[in-house]
Amino acid sequence: MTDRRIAASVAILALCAILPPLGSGYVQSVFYIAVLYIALAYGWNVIAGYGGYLSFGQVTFFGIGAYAVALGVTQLHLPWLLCAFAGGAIAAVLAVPLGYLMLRLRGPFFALGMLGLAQTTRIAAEAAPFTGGSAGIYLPPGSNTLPAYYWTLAVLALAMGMTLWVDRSTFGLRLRALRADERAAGTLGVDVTRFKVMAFVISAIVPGLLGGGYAWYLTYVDPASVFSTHIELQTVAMVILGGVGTYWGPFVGGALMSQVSQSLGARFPQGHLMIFGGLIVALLIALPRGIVPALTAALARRSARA
Amino acid sequence: MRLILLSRAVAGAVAVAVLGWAAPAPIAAADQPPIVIGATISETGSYAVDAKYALEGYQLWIKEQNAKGGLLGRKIELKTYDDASDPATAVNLYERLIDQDHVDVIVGPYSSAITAAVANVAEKHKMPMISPEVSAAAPFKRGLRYLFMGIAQSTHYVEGVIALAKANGYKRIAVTGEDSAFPRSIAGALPDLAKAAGLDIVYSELYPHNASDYSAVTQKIKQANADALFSISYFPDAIGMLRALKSANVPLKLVYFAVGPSEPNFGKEAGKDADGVLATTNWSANLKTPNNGEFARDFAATYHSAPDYHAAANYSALEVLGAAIARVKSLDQEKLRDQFANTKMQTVMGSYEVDPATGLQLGYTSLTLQWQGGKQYIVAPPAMAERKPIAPFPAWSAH
Amino acid sequence: MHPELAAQLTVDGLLLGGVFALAALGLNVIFGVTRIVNLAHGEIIVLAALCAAVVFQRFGITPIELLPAEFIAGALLGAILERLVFRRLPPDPAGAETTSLLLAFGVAYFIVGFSLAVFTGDFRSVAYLTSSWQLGPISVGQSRFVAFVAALAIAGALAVLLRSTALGRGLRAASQNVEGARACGIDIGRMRTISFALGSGVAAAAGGLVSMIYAVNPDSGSQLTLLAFSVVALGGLGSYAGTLIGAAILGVAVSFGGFLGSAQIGQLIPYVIFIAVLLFRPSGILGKSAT
Repeated sequence: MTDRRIAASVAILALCAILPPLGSGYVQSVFYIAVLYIALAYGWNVIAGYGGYLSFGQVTFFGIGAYAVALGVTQLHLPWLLCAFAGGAIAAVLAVPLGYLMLRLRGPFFALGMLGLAQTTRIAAEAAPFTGGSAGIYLPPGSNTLPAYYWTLAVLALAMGMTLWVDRSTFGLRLRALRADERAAGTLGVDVTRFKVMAFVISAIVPGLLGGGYAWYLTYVDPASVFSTHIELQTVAMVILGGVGTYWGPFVGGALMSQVSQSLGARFPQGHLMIFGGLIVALLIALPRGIVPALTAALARRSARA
Repeated sequence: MRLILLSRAVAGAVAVAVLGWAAPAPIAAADQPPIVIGATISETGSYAVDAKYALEGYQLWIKEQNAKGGLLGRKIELKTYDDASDPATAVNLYERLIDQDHVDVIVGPYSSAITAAVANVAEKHKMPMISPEVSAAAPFKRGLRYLFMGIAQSTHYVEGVIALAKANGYKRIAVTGEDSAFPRSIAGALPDLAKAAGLDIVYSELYPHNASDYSAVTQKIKQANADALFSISYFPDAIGMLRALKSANVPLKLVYFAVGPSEPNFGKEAGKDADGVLATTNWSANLKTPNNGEFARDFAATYHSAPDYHAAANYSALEVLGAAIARVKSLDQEKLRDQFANTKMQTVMGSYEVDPATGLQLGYTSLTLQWQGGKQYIVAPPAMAERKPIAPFPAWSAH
Repeated sequence: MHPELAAQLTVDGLLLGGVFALAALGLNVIFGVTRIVNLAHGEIIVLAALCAAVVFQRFGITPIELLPAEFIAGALLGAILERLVFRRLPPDPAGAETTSLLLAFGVAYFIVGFSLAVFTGDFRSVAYLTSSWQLGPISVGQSRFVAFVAALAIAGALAVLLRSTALGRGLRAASQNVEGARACGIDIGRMRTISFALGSGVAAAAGGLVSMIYAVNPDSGSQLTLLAFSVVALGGLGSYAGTLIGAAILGVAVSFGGFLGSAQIGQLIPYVIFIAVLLFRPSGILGKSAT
């Protein structure tokens, strides 16, 4: 099972690495956005899916990563890749105390507390003296799509690798035990807080690394675009559709959304949102664990019969 | 709330992966294929309110021009996508317009943030772009060769109001507004303008986007004993601030809300409280510019509402584009670029003229409007005024 | 600080607290009984505010005259939501909390899409009762005062309903001990439907009043949900007196913080207080238990 997952993941990633340079700038930017959101979804899935802590604020770390590159390149004149790495590192370092603090909240308190945290960071970035405030930061113009894309793809590979590790390691097992019953896991000797914080840090590193690529891709950063609630909500919706806490959920969620979008077209953007909301609700009721677990279960039943 | 952009991107990726590569260049089926103009419009998301007019401005010019026989003997077509007010989606869609749809020319999207990202795409493809919706100078100061400002610079927005404050002796002015790129560019220009006019800024502070309440800011304005309020606001914050000012009974002699009240429906939502409110616009049906009457009439006939300045700005961007194509008699991007940089011409908005080095607009100026009796009237500059400005601002109890 | 100014800021803060309380009361009703945080709460408020604005502009009916109709329509919507959506929550005690949040997230999406399709993205507002009364040196905004009184009245009515009626006893029993209530013959499903109806009705009534103070469009909902939740978390889940006190504290803190500090501080105060209070007193000011 795991071997097949690895093989399939490597094949997909390899395809994603080979195809874009053969296509036009449009193809490249399409791949960039798709891979970016799938990677964000993988990052979110660790704390929310495996850890059971639904977060509406991981975009905080995305914004921090974006500002690491914007400030590092324009103020310190460092190479952007170095700054993008630094963005991930800063996100990880900040995630430890924030995790200890925020993970004391549970359920809706954590979810909305994180939403509040993202808003707080956005307003802080608007008001801080060194961020250029709400006017934003302009990076040197240039053709950055492919470099930003490969960076993002590398982060996706990392995120998938970490998810796979979480999925099969004792760490992941304990994390899931904790999701099922935090108190019981605690009495069984699981160091609950440490595991939660570790999962939170993984879910912060991924957007932290991705944010830097986003800044380089856009060549412009402002608080509203990088601490965007919309980026967060899209990521969440994607994972819900695919299956929260599953390995392929983030991937499948993206593919499904594309189909719905295609059939509706861009002519009815509002009707589109309605149908998406309805679909999320219907799926959660019909397949409460998402598409991937339902498919897996169906496949297992078929092979059992055969 | 913007699943569309993501799903579209993923859809694109899937489609590309399934259908294979090498999007073939379109073959000229007829001997005279249309000239295709490409742009994105923020039809959904946070900029959607104004962007509707922007799209209609583009559409109207193309309709009129086609009625006159098109350009270079070819029909003109507009190809637009909804960028959902998101810069990354807009980048993606401009790449699509250029690489996949092979549009002949591009024009700008809505807002500074989106334009900043898209300008980089235009630069990469060496395609000149007139941006009719960016009045802040910052995007033009990064050494871009292909970006041109198609609207009055934001530093001009308050000139008429400053003059009004000076003429009436309202020396103590309070400055506030939303903390985002465009309002900040105006608020940043105010200290110099005020100083030159001999006015004192007694309070200056921006509030965050989506502010939950305005009563604290209002109290500070009251305590600062300001005569005049310069609040650089969009629509919702202009309403929220106006309500809070009235609630707190702040005795102001001049109330200015930048662009929010330039929307025709401000009067509907604000009711009688709108009376006396000042705002900036960049166009008026009364401007004595070429074809202006025709533009206003056609717009109203086609879209059943009066145009606002966004419509006029986008319309005039295409006027400049059309004139440039007619002059160079080709779609050579480099030649068009030089035309955009060096042309001086009259559009419905006034005199188009840019600084050839930066693309910053030098020709267009702004107008000051005031709500009087439930209607908008131009009150400054004096040469263009439809009515005399009401000053001081009527007492709140008189509204 | 001059005492008159301090008094004015306190009044402003209390009136703002009235708005906060209006937004929060309905959320608390639903949570109290069902343990579901309805993330679509802000969207219901906005939907009602948009309806109020259109009705006012078309027919001249003021939001105050419209309040009963708004309440009934909101209650119907809430009942339908519970029957159609939240009742079908899979019986999975471990994941129920997460799944209900996700469901509510989907519902919020749907309502935003619906509101956009019906009302477009335009901002709407009702220009009614925008003046103020002058009490000596203190000015009191009329629409804010009405909202404040309405918040008190709604909280009072809810308290009476819960304390002194059979329905209220059923609701309270359902919120405290599901199994025990069921054993006593209380129809838990019906109580849940009623709580959604009550909570959404209150949200819709709040929307009508909010339309006189702010301009809203379909995207304004999530902001209100977050504010409402901050108030509820601060005051304590299931406690209406707590909601009022929490809202008053937040309102006054925003008023003073925004004046003495900056507009940014004023904006951040609700979240900072909400997070800080939860960390040190997870049950809120008057709440019994947050778990």
